[in-house]
Amino acid sequence: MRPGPEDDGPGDRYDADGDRYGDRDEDGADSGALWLHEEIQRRIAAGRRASKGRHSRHEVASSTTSISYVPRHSTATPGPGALPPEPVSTPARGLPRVPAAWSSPAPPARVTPAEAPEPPAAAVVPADAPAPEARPAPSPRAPSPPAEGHRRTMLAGGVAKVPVEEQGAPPPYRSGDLHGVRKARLDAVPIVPGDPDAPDPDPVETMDSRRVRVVLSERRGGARPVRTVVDVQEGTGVGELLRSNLIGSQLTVALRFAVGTGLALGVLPVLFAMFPEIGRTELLGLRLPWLLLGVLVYPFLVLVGMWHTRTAERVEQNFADHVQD
Amino acid sequence: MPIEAIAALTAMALVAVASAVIGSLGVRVARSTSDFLVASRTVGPTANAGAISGEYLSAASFLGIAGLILRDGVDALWYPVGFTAGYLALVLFVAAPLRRSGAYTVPDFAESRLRSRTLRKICTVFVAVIGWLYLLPQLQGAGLTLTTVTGLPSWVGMVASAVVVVATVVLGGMRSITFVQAFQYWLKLTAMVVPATIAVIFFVSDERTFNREAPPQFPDRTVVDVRTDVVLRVEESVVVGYNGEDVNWEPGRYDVPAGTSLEFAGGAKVPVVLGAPVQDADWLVPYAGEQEGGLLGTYSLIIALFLGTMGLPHVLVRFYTNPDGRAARRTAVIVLGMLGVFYIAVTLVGALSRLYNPQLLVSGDTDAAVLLLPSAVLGSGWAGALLGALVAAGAWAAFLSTSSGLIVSIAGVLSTDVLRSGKVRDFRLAAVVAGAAPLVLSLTVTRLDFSEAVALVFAVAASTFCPLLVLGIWWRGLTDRGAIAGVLVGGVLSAGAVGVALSGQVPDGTLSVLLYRPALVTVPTAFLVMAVVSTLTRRRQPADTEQVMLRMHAPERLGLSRDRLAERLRSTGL
Repeated sequence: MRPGPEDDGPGDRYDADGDRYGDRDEDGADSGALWLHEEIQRRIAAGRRASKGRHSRHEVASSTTSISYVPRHSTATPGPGALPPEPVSTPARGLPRVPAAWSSPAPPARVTPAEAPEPPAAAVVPADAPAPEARPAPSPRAPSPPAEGHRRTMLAGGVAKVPVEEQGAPPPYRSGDLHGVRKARLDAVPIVPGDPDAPDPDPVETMDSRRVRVVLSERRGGARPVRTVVDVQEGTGVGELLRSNLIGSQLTVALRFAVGTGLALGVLPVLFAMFPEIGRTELLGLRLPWLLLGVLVYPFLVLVGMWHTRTAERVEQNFADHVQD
Repeated sequence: MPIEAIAALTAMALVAVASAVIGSLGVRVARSTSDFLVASRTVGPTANAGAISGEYLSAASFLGIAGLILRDGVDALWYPVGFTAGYLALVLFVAAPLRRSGAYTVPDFAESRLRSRTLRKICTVFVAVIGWLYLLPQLQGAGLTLTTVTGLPSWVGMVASAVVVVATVVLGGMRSITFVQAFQYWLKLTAMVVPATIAVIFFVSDERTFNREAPPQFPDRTVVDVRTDVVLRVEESVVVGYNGEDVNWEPGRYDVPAGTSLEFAGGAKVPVVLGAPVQDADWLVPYAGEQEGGLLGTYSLIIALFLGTMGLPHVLVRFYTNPDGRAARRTAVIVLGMLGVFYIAVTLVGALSRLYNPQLLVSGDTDAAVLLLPSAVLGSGWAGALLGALVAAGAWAAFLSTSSGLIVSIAGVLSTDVLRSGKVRDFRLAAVVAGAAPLVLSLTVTRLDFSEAVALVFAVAASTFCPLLVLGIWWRGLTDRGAIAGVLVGGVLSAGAVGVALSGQVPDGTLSVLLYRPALVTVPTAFLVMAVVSTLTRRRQPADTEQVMLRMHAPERLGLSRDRLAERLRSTGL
């Protein structure tokens, strides 16, 4: 179906982004839910940031389940300079198995050891990191506003170099200082983040912790959604409420804009017919009807469209936040 | 053959060749059915918006609107406004949910939402009907362009454009079409903005004005060849060389049969086709002419254009090529901007044509206004020939892009729903069929003004797919029976009106307004029938309505979306 990996040229940047939404590994849901909770707490603590950037990141992943899925990202994301994540007491518990999630759908051919992230070095943005231009371009290094800045950074596929400490990383990752241990392991085992058969040397640690967190949060969008998502899908209790709330508020938004625009435009013919002097009024050197219908109506329509897009995206994001919380 | 004709022919040939080259480059990336049908859903918003605009700006937009403005003045501005506002309706109600539904054509949407194969078949029929009706003015526009710039018979242009378009589609499919159409948008914009700018410069330096209590005047000695029967209205007596014989026309109405040659001296007052405002000052203000309908017609037109855009198959299929719902919305907003820029230029060209091309008011061939403006402004020297060639190229691009988009969407529906295989070979076969049918029609049917012909198609789309999409996306109570009833009632009423209008047997009065502009009645009727029948057959709501609705409205990051084309191809083992 899919022509093949080589078809996935630089133009197909949505593929490149979409692959972040890998299918999940076996116990992803459980650990994910647990971890999810902690992540939410942390995020709340960090304060809610402007929704747009975050939303944009997430939304790109339309092709999760589609044929255009090419997990190129799995190898591209862990930039060479990524700082190791904060220590974790045990690699398995409490932390979701990100690496597996990343790698599971990867066609082995695409993942070669050569693409494995280099162990800690200077933080550099990998040249081949997919940089989605269609979205608010995140600056890979801008650390402010703290929490959001980092999130975006990682999502863009760049390498976030800000140490976790700076952004007040949440306790779960600090249950012990295994820095040394991990580094030793890193040195010993070449880690191939995209390889499903890798002997799980905890590849999480090859990426910095922020990156890890984001991946986890996005994994919620995979084939096995977290419980609220399942709730919503199956129409039980809270889910039903959330869902009708979403459709209802989107419809309200759309109708409000439609009625507003319809009235603004629809009243013109009546006005022109009832008050012919409007047709003889000149403004800016043009007759008023010509000015309104020939020029001003177009910027007006564009502005309404932009405004509606923003509003509708905000509604969607609130919904997604509710569901995922 | 004069130099202008050679220049214009060369430019049109270049456009066709450039389109074919870009298309064949696209073939290298088009390998799967998914590429052919939806460009594998990998087109970014800006490229996609360029393609949508390129596809949408048809003969009606490029030639027709300027002609209507030349004739009807400010009242005609509702056409471009409606064409643009239709995209706003699309952003508000359809773009993102439709993309998220995972369906890949309108019939597929209908089936995925309401689980009815019957409805799917009915929608397939209407996609073909709307597409073919819309192709008609495109092919006729190609014929008119060729006739205007070279004097060749118009069937040559129709056949040539049909062949070029079908070839492009057969070779490249959707993915290459995307690039071809983005290219054609920019070509059309250039071909409209450059003459508009030049004409404005001349207008300002001439210090001429529209605000005169008099009909327009011929700038020079002019011979007008009347190609179709017209009724002219004369308000100030004028001397006419009627087939070589000088006649004095007193104020009144004059029937002029086709084939007549009328000659006017420079400075003579221009007789105007009946129904259009005669005096320049009346032309400037709304509702001054004796147009049929007035307010009623305007509102019906607004409804048809505002709601019809979302039902056009070639517009919809473009939104399926977006990567996700969010991109679909953004694409539509960018399209709003691109259309706005283009239509402002069209408005300028149309208005200035009244000064430079008043002879079109006599022949009734106002659709040729854009094509004739360059030589009218710049004279028949090399500058005029060059500008004329650019405009002819733009007009040619307008037919090619709209027609290829229509043929892709008709062929997509035919190949997946009629031939049922989804193979690339069948898609190509379907494309040939999709192009041949309207060509036969266009060679036989009489020509309406392009914008009016297109407005009829919009009315059909607004009466069938608009209620289906809007209710299907926003109302969980819709049932298959309700949708079938609504689409059939709306479709039969509006298509019937279109048929009567095209046949030319139109009675006078309010009824005639509603025949030419049926949307005011047919759209609410279709909505009403759909809602009432759905309520009566409430028990037939599909069991998975809730999931489907959620999938359409939930953002992609929740991971609920599906790709129905991928599923279908997988199930057929492709």
